[in-house]
Amino acid sequence: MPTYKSRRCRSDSSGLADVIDKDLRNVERDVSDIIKIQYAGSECVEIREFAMSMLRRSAEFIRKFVPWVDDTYAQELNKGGNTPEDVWCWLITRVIRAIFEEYLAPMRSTPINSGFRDSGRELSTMIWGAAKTNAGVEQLLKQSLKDHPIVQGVFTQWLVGHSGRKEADMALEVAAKATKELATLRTLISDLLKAVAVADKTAKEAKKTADRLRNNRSSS
Amino acid sequence: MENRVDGVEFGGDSVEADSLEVSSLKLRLEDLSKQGLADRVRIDSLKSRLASDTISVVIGEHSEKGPTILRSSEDLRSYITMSRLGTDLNFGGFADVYVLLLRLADRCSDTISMSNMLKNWKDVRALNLSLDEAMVIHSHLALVPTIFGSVQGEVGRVSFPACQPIRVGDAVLILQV
Repeated sequence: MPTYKSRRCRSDSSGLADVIDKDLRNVERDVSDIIKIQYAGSECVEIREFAMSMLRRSAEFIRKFVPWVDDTYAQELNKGGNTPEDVWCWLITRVIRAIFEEYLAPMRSTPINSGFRDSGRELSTMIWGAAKTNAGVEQLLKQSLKDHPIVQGVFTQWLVGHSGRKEADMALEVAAKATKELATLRTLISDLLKAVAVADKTAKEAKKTADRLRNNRSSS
Repeated sequence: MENRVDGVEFGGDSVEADSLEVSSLKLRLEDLSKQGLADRVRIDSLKSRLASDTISVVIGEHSEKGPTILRSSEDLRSYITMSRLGTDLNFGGFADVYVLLLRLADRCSDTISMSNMLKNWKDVRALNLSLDEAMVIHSHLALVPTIFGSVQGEVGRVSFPACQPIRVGDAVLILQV
């Protein structure tokens, strides 16, 4: 699993997310060139537009998705009570997994272990799989990513599991502070008791001396 | 009931037993509400999946002959045949998020890049696949794009699931690094 540091390195912009930010435009241009070359004929105008719109939508999703992951990480961290590792692990293993593995992946066609009777069937299956993934991406883009049911569900589960953690941490802090204060008070009391015992002893001795002196004076 | 009243009157163990029962019921209730939440999440995700299963794609919205609405891969196949595009049309230009992320990972890789591997991949040509088409097929290998899962701590070290067999038609392709 990538760490947050390896993903986003603010100091020198060398993290994976920074590389994605920088390279996405080049990748988009590469694919755009492929589309222009492969579907150049006049009979391909519609299919070319179709492929181009798919490319634009996919790139738009990545452009929104990458900073969204950063924002979500920062927001959940700011709420307090959760360690950076917890938040990052949840983002990678729950949120990203839910979006890709549970939501988008089933929409794609899987050529693994599936034979195609002819190239036409393979062609249409591949393109249709990409179109369905694109439709899923469109659904994700329609509202904010967090509002999509698949993401919302993961968020709800996270909140149920982690609600009250901040309050619990604060209560723990208060309890620790109170325990410390109690220990200080106990030390103070024992010091005071010692001082009282010493004073009591001195007073008793002084009383004894005074009594002795009074007895001496009365006898003389 | 009589025993319980006696227990309460004489301060017996029944009060303790009742509070234990209440707390165990509370725990059960919590579990049930958690389970309910998980079910709700599952239903919502199924609903959203169902919505994407019934998608329709509109091609040529602004064309002279009018838009074509496609509802399945069969519709698309018919459209390709009717438009005389030919079944040997290259599908390498159809890039969804997975393909874009695979291409990004490919760019990040400074040692073993996907495109370099594919260039040495003799079977690709034998199967009449272009490199772009092979890239699209390869993007189906991982459910979560490898760019999120196989980064080994530092930038530019993206590992591909090499040596995994991919079945295309009757042939099995095996990546050779």
